Amino acid sequence: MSESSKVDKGSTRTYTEEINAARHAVMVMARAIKNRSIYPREHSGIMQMMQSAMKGLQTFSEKFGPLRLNVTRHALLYRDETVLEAEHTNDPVVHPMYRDGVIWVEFMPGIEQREFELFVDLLIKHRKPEEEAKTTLVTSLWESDLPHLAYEAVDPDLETTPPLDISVFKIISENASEKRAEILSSPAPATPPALSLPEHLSDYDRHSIRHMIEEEAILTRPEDILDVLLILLVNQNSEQEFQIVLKSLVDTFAESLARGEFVFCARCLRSIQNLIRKTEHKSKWRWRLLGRFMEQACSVSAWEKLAAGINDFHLEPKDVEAFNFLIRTLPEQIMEPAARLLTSARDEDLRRILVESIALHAKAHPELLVKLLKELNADAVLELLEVLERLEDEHIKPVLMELSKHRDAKIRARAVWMLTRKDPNAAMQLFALIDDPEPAIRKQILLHLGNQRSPTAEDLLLKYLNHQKSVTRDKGHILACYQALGRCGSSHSLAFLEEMLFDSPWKDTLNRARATHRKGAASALALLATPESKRLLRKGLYSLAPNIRKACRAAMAEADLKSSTKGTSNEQD
Amino acid sequence: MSKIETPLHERLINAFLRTARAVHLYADNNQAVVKACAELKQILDRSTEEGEPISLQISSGHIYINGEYLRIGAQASASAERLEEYLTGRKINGIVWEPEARDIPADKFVPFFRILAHAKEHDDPLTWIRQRLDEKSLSWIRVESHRDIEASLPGIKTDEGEAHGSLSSHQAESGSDSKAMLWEKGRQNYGRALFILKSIADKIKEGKPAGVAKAMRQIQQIVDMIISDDQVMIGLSTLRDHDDYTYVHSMNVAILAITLGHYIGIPKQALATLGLCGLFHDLGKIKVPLEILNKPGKLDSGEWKIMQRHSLESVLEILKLKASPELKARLLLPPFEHHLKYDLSGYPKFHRRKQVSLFGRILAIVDVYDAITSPRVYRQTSLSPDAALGMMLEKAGTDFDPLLLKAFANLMGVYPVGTLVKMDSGEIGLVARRPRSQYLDRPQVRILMSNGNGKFVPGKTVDLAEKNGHAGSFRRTVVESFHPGQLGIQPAAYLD
Repeated sequence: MSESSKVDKGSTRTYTEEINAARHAVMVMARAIKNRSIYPREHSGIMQMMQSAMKGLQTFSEKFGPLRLNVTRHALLYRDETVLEAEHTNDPVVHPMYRDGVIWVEFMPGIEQREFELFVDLLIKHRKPEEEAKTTLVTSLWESDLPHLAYEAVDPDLETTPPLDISVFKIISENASEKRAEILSSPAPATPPALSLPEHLSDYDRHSIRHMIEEEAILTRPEDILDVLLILLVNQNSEQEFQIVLKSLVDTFAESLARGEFVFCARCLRSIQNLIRKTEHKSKWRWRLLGRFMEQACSVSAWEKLAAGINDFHLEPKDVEAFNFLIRTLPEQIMEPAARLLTSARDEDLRRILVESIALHAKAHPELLVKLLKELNADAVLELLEVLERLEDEHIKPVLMELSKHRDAKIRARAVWMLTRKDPNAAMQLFALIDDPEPAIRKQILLHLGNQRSPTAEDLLLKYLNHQKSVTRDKGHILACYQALGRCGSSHSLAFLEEMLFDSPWKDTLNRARATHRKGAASALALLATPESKRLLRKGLYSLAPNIRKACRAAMAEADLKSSTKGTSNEQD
Repeated sequence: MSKIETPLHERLINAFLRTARAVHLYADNNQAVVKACAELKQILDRSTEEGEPISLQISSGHIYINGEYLRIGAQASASAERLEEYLTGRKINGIVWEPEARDIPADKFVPFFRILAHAKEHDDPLTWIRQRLDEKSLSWIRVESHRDIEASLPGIKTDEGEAHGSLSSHQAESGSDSKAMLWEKGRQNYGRALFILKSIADKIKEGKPAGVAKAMRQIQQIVDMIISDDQVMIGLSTLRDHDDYTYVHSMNVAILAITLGHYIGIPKQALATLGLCGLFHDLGKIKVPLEILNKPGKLDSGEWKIMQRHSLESVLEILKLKASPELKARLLLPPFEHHLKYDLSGYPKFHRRKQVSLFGRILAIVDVYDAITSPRVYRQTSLSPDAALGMMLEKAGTDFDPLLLKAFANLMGVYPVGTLVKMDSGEIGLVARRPRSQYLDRPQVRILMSNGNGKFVPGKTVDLAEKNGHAGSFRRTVVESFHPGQLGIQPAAYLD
């Protein structure tokens, strides 16, 4: 057996190991890519998969170096071995690369998590081909310029393009042949022309140029762009083209807003306002479209980006002033983004501006406020309640009544507080909240009911307690209801309270709820403090049933304590 | 897209900087210094074969290792800039570790870096460094000036097959085969980009949406070619077409803009944007009636107003393209500004003082250059490239940014590519390649030989910087220049 034909078992093992390692790394990567294309990236499972994929690449590269994968129509190959087959024609891993002409892609040692994530996101973004695309996978990879990701791509269209035939490009020249002959035949001048040679670029020139480039790189030139778009706008006579320019203005406005460039945005808005004023009676479609700009400037997405970064901006007085102008100038559609912004903004000046603006619009358009209150999340609604306080009663009461039924307990509580603070009688309209799962709300309702001294409140409580007597309920709640009855009730309640105090004392052992009602009745009688209620309590003190005596004693002791405390505090006053 | 340089070279740059910093901060025997020197030595040993030197050179803002252009990734660009500043601040354009550096222990690097650390204190740091290296007998390392780098270039390639200068494309292999491939690739890219531009214009005329992805891809490939070696694309930018002037002109403007942008150091992603600005800068001309565009005589005031609108219309057409709002925002300003002039005396009129954007100033230069070197129906003669450059230089500071124009003049040389020249040898030739930086009036010229039938055939390429003997006179000198169009010559046809 010759040397060359001997099987080197060591190298075969290493080769197999390498292929398997490549296959494993690619499979883990493919799984991560597929799942990231379906689920949110913040999903903990997805984040873990991405980290595992990175680890796979790192482990491979530590042992075997760069991982270069050749891309074919149906598979990824490593050293001519298939390491991943495309599952279907829309496979998110193989297909976008093949379609866009990627021949191979190489993950180099040292590749970082952010580079890998960007690569994955680009694959996902360009998964589906677009007619008249804005970008492709390859143009995006080129732009990203990832230092640890190499690739080679052919332009599929370029491959079928024949080289340019220069002969088809025409140069027309009169008397070309005569001129040729003249130039060829005339002797060369004896001396070369006196040239004024351009100066070489000095170090200072190079430094200046570098500075020029650095400066330009950080400039976004929104003012110039705005001026150009405005010049373009006033020069448009076609509605369609006017709309196109206006859309760009909206985009420019939105981008600048997201960066917190309020002064610029205010300028933009003033310019549009001027145009509206000048256009008003001259051109209906212009006027209509300009009005639509104002609405589009209120679009939620533009303001959402602002909300994300608003606390990071260092705002000067002119910025705050500009922000004020923006919020006040934009139409009522600004209410929703302003409300959302209110949940993020911490700056007091900005918050004040937002609240004032929402209040202003809400006065004119209360229905919009109601709609917002229904649609927005709890945090935003809580912020908006501050706005409601500035509105007139006839506007806010219906809104607050709606909010008292809100799913969020904090909002219900605040709505109840606001309603009952202005109108204690509102507690009767809110009686259903006596069964609210939130203890604080129940307490508020009962407090206000108890302060009423009204037959309506008394009747409501009587009916409620009558219904509750056979139901096992929170003891504290039942007692509180009786106390409220005691505060607001009259002799009308005596019959019920007498019955609850004296009826069937032996039932307490079998029915805990009954004992609670008995105690409650005693408490209510004590709080009523009428001669008849006191008589009933004294009667109870001498009852044969120990539980009745106990209930009456406790109620009278509590009432005495309360009155002595009141007396003491009166003395202190 | 070719494979990027290995991280090893980036590690070399970082190790060099770390060592310089450690020596600056600490004493010689400090662990930080010892560790940094050891790492640098290790990387140097890995970077080359035994018996070979390692050279690190800086020229025109680019870094070369062993004569190969180093493509710096985003991560390493800050380090590359720091290295450039460090070396050029000491008037050093190159460092060469001789082969015997392999046998030097790492701690022997310290004296060298100590010398570098103190060099800036002296008026002529480079000479001072050399003197100190001599004194300390550090013969395993030497430093180079700008002149030394040029002098270290081997002879220029002719048809007989000598190697290109060392500071050339890392993509191009030696040999005329690769040159032919480059030209073919260049023509493909040019042709494809032209086709895409025309398709976009047709779609706009039909009111259909037009995406920018294909145009972007072509421009990116052109950027790659220009970064690698700009001569092919500069050569193709000499193309002229009587019938299809606007589109060919737009292609040439894109190429020249990218070339100038690359020359002054604009990063590659921005070069792609600049290229697109060039490609689309005259898109508005599709709305100018052909009878005005092709009118042989002078335009009257009404026609001139229509023509002037094309800058604004170009912006409108860009807004119609299917591109992200961010890209459109980057693309729309330069086309608007390209006729504004440096002193704002151009059009469209602007109501306030502002500075024309960098890309707008670049487009202004290359747009005018290509336009005045192109034969047009309304102009009896077009200027030869060198005459055009001369005329433009007179308008530095008014029509054109003086610094950018100076850079353009340096880039193109006194006789730009495509100029037809007559030399004192009696030979006629086309400028094929711009000159090496020292001699702006001495480019490389492709000799044209008459075939006796009224046509020219391309001959060998000669370098006008070549001298007779070591210190003799120049072999050839330009004595006259012409516009190639006068002779019906399409330069690009002769330059491959």
